[in-house]
Amino acid sequence: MVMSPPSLPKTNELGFYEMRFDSVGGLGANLAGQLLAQAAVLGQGLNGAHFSSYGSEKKGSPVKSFVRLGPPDRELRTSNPVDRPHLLAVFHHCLLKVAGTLSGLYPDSILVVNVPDAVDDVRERAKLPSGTLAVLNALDIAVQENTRINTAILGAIVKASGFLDPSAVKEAIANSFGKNHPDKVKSNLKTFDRGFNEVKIKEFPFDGRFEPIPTTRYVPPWGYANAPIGGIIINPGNTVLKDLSASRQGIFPLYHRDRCIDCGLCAMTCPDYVFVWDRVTDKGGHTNMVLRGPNLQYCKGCLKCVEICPVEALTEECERPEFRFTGDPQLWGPIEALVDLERDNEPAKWPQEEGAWWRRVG
Amino acid sequence: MLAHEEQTRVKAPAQVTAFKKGNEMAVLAAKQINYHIMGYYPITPSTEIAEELDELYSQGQIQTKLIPADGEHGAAGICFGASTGGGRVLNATSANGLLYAMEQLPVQSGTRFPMVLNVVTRSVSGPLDIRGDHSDIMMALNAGWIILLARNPQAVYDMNIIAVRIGEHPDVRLPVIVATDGFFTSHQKRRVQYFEDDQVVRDFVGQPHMPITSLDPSQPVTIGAYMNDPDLINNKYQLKLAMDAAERLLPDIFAEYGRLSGRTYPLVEGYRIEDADATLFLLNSAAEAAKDAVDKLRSEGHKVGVLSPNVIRPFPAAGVRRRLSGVKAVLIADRADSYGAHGGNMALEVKAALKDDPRNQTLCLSRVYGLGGKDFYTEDAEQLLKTAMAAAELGRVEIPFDYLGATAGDSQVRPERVQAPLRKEDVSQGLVKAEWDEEAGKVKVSGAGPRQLTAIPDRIAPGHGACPGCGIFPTLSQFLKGIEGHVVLLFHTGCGMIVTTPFPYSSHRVTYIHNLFQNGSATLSGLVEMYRERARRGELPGDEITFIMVSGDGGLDIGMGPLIGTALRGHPMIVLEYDNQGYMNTGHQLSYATPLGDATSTSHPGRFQSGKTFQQKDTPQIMAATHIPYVFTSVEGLATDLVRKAAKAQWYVRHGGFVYGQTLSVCSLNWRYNERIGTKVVKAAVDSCLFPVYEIENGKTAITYDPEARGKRIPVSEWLAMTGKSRHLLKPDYSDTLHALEQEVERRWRRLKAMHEHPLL
Repeated sequence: MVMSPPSLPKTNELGFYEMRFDSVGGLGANLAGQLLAQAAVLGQGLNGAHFSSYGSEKKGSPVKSFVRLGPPDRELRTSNPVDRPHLLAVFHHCLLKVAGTLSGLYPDSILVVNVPDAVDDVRERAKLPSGTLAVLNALDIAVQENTRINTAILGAIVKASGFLDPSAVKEAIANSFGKNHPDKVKSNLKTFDRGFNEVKIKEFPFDGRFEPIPTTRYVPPWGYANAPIGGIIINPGNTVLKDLSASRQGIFPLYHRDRCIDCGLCAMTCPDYVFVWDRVTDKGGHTNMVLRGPNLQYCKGCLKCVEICPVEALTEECERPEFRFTGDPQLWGPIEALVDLERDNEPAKWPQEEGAWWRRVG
Repeated sequence: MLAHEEQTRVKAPAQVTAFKKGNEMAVLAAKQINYHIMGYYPITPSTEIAEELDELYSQGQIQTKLIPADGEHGAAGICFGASTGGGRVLNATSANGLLYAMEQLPVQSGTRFPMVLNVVTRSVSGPLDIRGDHSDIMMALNAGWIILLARNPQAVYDMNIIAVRIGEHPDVRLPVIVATDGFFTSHQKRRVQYFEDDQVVRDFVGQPHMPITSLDPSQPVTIGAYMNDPDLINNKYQLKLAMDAAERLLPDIFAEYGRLSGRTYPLVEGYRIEDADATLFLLNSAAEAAKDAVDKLRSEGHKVGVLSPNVIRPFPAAGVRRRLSGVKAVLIADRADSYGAHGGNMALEVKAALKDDPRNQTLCLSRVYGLGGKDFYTEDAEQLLKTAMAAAELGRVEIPFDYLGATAGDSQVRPERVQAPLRKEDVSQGLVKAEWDEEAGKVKVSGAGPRQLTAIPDRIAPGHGACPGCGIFPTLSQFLKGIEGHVVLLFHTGCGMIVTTPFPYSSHRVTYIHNLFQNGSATLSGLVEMYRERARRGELPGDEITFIMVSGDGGLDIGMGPLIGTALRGHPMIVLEYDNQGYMNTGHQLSYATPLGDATSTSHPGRFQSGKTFQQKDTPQIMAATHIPYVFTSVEGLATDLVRKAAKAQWYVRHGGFVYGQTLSVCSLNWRYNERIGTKVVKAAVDSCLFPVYEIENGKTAITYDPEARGKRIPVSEWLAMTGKSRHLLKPDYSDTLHALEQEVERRWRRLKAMHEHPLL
């Protein structure tokens, strides 16, 4: 039964403790937020709300999940997204480099990150000026327990929060999985416990090494004064500017030029049009198409190409430290007429950090 | 005193505390009411209501018969027909779904058959926006329906129960809309309460009493007479009287419900308004958010408040007048504009209500906010309150009407192309050739292999946001490689559209147009004829552009009528359907193309239902019956079959014909399989003969890949076992459904073989 509700360690001016989960569609942040809020409301007697940033139903795109908790008698009225989280959980470490992920952190907020790295390294990567940092390798746990990362991260969040009741959250997990996947209850509870126990938590007082994080709200560069009327887009094919590496869940196709027979099947099967081909003229004057490789800026890691390749010139690899981005702008995108070279007679200015060619190092 | 006495006499029924969102509360109310019929068509964000009711049905928890319509217009028709039959009827929709149904709304109210429609509000297209504003519900103000508002998930439940009572009242007998803010309320989980015992709700709404029904042969009635002047005005006056009665009766019904539940709803709710100098007038979730701003400003000593109606049809004008009589300035904020009217609809109605009080001196300001789901923060409410305070202090209105939250944009940003337009020669390399073969009486195609085809640039750029492993894009790439020269694309609403055009980005390197699900074919046919007419007048060179419409995600359910019309008129254009066997962009609801027995979010398998209940639509055969010159089917992965069929399609278009083609396309999100084997999954569908690959050229059918002849045929069950959407059919519980599916696949395949063998079939 409901015990007397816990007191919230911190609240904003409206009296709420707020959490935001920054994630990628398919990682289960929505369910995690729902289970957590449900446990806090029905299990711990707090008032609360849960919702997510909804778009169309897709995997692989950024998604945010929000939890707002208040004392039992505090009426909940606002439906705003959480701009200033007391606790922020980052479900995919790739998001640390995405603008706005850390937006709105208080100097003493808790940041939970799913990442294989050590807590001090993560602080450097995140450029966290101060606060409590909690890191765990949820992917490893999930792979070992044959579950998903969200329950492991839930364990870490509950531990780091200091006031959420692990038994209430476990009850919510058991109820949720018990309904449709009773065989998954045990493994998910273990995953939660491992997240709870294995998370590394460290406090960083403000030491001036990193700038305080501003609270930003997205303002579109195109507005009523400069956007073409009618919602028309007059920049054909400009999604080439996007970097979709965060859509991958840690796996990518590695290209082996030495095995490739340039058959073209990978290009036929690829949903993301990542394969770059060169037109090469041989000594006899014959021109032919030669595969340069997959441009991983756009690759979402479905591995259909690995499956279809007849000669294992594409193999499944984990995104480990021995592979890294080279970011050579000349290697970008389909070469033909990518940029209007004739018009300005100079190479395109691509944002460097978005380069995404994986190369084996050493 | 009386009310108090009554309150003590009624024993309050037990309620359960839960954590649910608005859509779930609508479902809960519907479950407890146990409607007879729900006719619906999925549209975000209202879809979950039908989805969850279907799940309850599959478990035997409700008896409501759910009917997936061919579109919202059809859904409204199903509901109208059902409601004449004397039982209870439910529907749910949003945005353009409401507009598509709109023609039927006055039919329902004018003939006076009650039903309940949940409108989960959303911005009306275009451009397409799936998030919440009130541009849809404002369009329904003149439909003759009662409109109750549900400001939070709790109210969604309460209003859905109250809706039945008021609509069916003998003095009213009107259909009722319950309007909920899309996403803000429909998708936000909150602490809520509901009656533990369904019977409490059933007792409150009572047995449906419909004095006139179309199902009583002893009392034949004519419903929907032909009624011109001078009679119609009297029918409408009756409707007006019914609205008056609803306004009179609602307070009593609200009070009775309040005694039962402990939750009371006035027609119009004032928050800290008694001595307020400045107030806001807002609807639904934004009104709730504004209360926090009121508390803040009150704590700083400002006399402010919020006024928000729980009903807007009938509009509680008397209550608004009374509550605002002492207020110096009211700012009416609308989440929709009535373009050109100098204020949103609510602003106009509040002003009209005040005008009827000759003593009223309240200053009125109108602002439009939160369009397309733009968030309304507490500080936005604070800003609006301060605007109203300034007017109250100044004694006049400086800016009567404006928008809150529109942004000018960054003046440094200029439109600059990152990719040059494709030149004709880039996409006309002669790698695939289609020529008329006099001897064979058909078009012959010769062409390059995959390696050579990589020389043809994709007309769609990388960087689109489709799910990993999406089947749409290999299909489009292969098809477009078979098309030479300039292309104009038109996409129906669907995944292909959404993921390629997130403003201000577009993956399309060629000109692209979107129109809604139902109308793509008609839209493109209009453009084709404009092109031809302008070419005929010498304004444009002709014969340069090939026009291709891309549909999928079930778009040819709702779009079937315009497609057939376009085919019958015979405009030279191609319609390519990527058939992914469901409405995938909205979360895998069944489409008519979904195979029998498939598990979708509106066809749950369970003890009382074995997945989808009817066989899949055979669109190529429907299109063949329009006698267009070329119909084809294909899948990615059958070598260059699709590329060749594209070239053939273009040949027919260049010779004045209309072409329809369908490809089976995996949905890596909703079919539930390992996304890397997508090509194998579609090939298995072909090898099982569930999706035959063939073409019909000038009326003659040719199977272009025959798994039997190649010794590759597999049982349908092998294909079913590959995806989570159909694997359950292999369980003994579903053997009847499996058998029916196998028989139908076999029957259609044998028929196709006969057509292949006989030129006249």
